[in-house]
Amino acid sequence: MGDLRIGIVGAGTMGGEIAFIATQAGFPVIMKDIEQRFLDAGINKTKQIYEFKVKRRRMSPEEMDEKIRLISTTLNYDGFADADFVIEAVPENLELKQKVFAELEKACPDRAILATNTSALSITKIAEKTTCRDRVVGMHFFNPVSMMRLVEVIRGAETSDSTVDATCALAEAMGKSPVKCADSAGFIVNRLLCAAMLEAIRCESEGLLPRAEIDNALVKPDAGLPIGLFKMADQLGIDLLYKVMKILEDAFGERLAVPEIIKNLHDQGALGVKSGKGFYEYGKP
Amino acid sequence: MENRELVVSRILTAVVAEARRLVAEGVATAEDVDAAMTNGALFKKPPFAYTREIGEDEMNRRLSEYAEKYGPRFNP
Repeated sequence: MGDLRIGIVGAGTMGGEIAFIATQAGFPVIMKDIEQRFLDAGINKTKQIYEFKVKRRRMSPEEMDEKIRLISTTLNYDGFADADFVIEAVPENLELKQKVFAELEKACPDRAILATNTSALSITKIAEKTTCRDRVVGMHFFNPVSMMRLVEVIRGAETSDSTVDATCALAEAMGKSPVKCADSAGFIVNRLLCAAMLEAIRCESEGLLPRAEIDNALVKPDAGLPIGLFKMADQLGIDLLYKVMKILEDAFGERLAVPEIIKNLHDQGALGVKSGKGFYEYGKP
Repeated sequence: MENRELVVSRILTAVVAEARRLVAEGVATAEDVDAAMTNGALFKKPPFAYTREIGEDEMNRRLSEYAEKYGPRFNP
C-alpha cells in the first residue's frame, strides 16, 4: 500500500486537508485544479496544518518539508496516468462531478479507483457517465479531515467489493476509521444529524425551550453532543444544510422535510457564522 | 418531566427512530451507525449505545409514546 500514488481533484479546503492526511501517511500526491490560485490555496491549507504540528513540536521542520515535497500539482491531468487512487473534492454539483469522472476515466490507468468526497450526492449518479462504474466509490471525509476519524465508504449500485475493500484499506492507512454504507440519501451521519436538527427545531417552535437553552442542554453529559445543534448548523452553513435537507426531503418525504425556518434563513442570506447571522447573531463577518 | 429533559430525550430518541429505519433499509449495520456517529459527529451517546443505556423496553415504550404525542416519525 505504501507506494500508492494518490490523485486529488479540487484543491479547496477539503483537497488541502486530504493532501495532508495522504502525505502524512507517506503517499505521494498529485493535486489538480482549474486555476493556479486554487492550487496555491490548497497547498497553503496543507502547509498550515503541518506548520501547526511543527509549532506544537510534533514534527521537525525537515520532516515537514519532506512531506510537502510529496505533493505535485497540475492544471490538467498530467501525472494522473500513474495514479492508483483518485479522490475528487470539487464543488457539490452533480453535472460538474459527472464531467470530472468522465475525464478521470480517460486520464487514469484501468486499475485506478475513483473516489468522490461528496457529502450528499448519489455515487451511482456520479458514476453514470463512465464505463468503469465498478471502480467508482464514495469516500466521505468529515471536516476538519485532519481531526475527524470517520470516513463513510459508500457503495454505488455497481461498485465492486474489491473497490470498497481497497477504499477502506486506504482510509485505514491514512489513520481513519472507515464505515461502509449504501448509496442512500444523507448516508449515515448527515441523515441522523438532520433528524436531530429537525426535532430541535420542533421543540423550539412548540415553545419548550429557546434555542440557546436547547443548545446548552445538548452539550451536558446526559445528552453528550460536542456542540449544540443550532450552533452546529451555523458553523456548517445554512446553505449547505438546506441542500442536504432538500435531498433528504426528496428521498424520504414529510418526515425529513426542510423546515420553514431553514428556508427563511436561507432566503434571507442568513447563512450562519460566515454571513454574520444564522440562528444566532455573530456581528460582521 | 422537566422541559430540558424532555427536549434532550426527544432529540436523542428522534435519532434512534431514524437510525433504526436506516439499519432496517440495509444502509449500514447498527454497529457501523454508532461508530459513524461517534467518529463523525462526536456523539457520546450514539443511538444504539443510548438504547442499551436506557434499556430496549424503555426505548420501545418511549418511541410508542412519542409517536402518539408528536407524530409518526417516532414509530418504532
